[in-house]
Amino acid sequence: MLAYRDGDAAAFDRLYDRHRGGVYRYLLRQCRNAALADELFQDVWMNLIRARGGYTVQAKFTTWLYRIAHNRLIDHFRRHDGAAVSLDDDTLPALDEPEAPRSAQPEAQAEARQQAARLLVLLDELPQEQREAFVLQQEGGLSVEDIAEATGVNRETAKSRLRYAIARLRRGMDS
Amino acid sequence: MNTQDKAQDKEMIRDPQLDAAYRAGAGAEPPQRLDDLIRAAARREVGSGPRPLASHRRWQMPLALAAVLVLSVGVVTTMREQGADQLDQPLPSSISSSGKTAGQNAAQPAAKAEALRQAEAPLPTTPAPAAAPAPEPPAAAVAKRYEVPAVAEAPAPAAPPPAQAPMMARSESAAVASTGAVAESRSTEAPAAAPRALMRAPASATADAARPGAPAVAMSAPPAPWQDLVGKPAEQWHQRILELRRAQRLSDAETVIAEFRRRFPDERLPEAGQP
Repeated sequence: MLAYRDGDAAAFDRLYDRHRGGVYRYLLRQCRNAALADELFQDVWMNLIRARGGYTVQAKFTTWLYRIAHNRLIDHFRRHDGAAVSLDDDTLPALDEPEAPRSAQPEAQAEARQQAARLLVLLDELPQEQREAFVLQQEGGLSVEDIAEATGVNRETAKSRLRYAIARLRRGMDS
Repeated sequence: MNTQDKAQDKEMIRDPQLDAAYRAGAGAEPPQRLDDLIRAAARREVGSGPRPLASHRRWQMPLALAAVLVLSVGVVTTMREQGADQLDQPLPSSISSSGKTAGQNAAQPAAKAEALRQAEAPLPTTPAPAAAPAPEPPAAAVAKRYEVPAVAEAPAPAAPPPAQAPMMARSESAAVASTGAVAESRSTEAPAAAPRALMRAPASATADAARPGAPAVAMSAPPAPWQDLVGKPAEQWHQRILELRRAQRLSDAETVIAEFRRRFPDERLPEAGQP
């Protein structure tokens, strides 16, 4: 990011390639709407591009990036009264998951895919804060401290959210 | 919270089975049109608004170094020029008068010590040549120390002005003693050195001591062995020389012979009286 701030356009490409999938899935899991995820995704990266001049190293870049994404999500939720946050909405699980060809589905892969689909369903059933903590851990590789910083809460809160999320997901997978 | 606690938290809060399941189902990617849009925007931001900060930062360090270098050279050059002017101006006058400059203050003790050492050293029995090479004057020594060409303004050793400096006084007293001009010694800086030089000087050097108006220093000296011969014929000078030689007072005999040659340049000494 420092290189891009100093005018290296190729540095942005490297950053984008590294984080585009994680950020997109984070937004998609939170808003559960592909069109909305596209819009938010574009806004997040545009905000980053505009903020490049004032960028200083105060935290991990990943934490900073997901904080931008989190803030954009919060703005959206506030504007729309939490319309996207519907824990009882079962219409959006595995929204954009690509279908694998049938010929490439051995038994193990079929089992893994079933578990993945099941996990995504369970994930959508989680409270938004717990889901966010889990997705940040999975997509961004953030630690408890990083999750706390990205979401603007203290460490214990972030830790509690993450633990509850994992516990509920594990129970759902085992049942 | 220490590192061990953080590691335990990480261990507790991660579930490998969930991680694997999530990775297996995490295939959603942003559409290509978004990728193109965002990349283009990033390039446009960099290209449209070239930030002078980047180029400034690139040249910041070399420019700073160059500025420091130029300033340093300028300051050193200015100080050197000012220092040379200061050395050029006050040195000659201060050395010839009161000696207030630091360079002279540093040179004076050394000059005095040198004068005393030279005065205490035994002088040659034969008269020193009038144009004997005088020691380096303090002005030249100071100028050499500071590498400033101030020697040209220093008084010439061959014709030193009266009471120039201790070293000059020593050389002057020695030269005067050898030429019989003891009474005109004007040594003021080395009062102890001048009397010693006079006492070691040949007796003939006090030839003018009997002149009226001679200084007290010359009057207190012992009378020359030829003083009572002044105005007497050459034969009596011959007789005195022979007597002194017989008495083994060779130094006095030499003094009388020197004075005889000065007073009777056309007279020959008797064979026995030849030195």
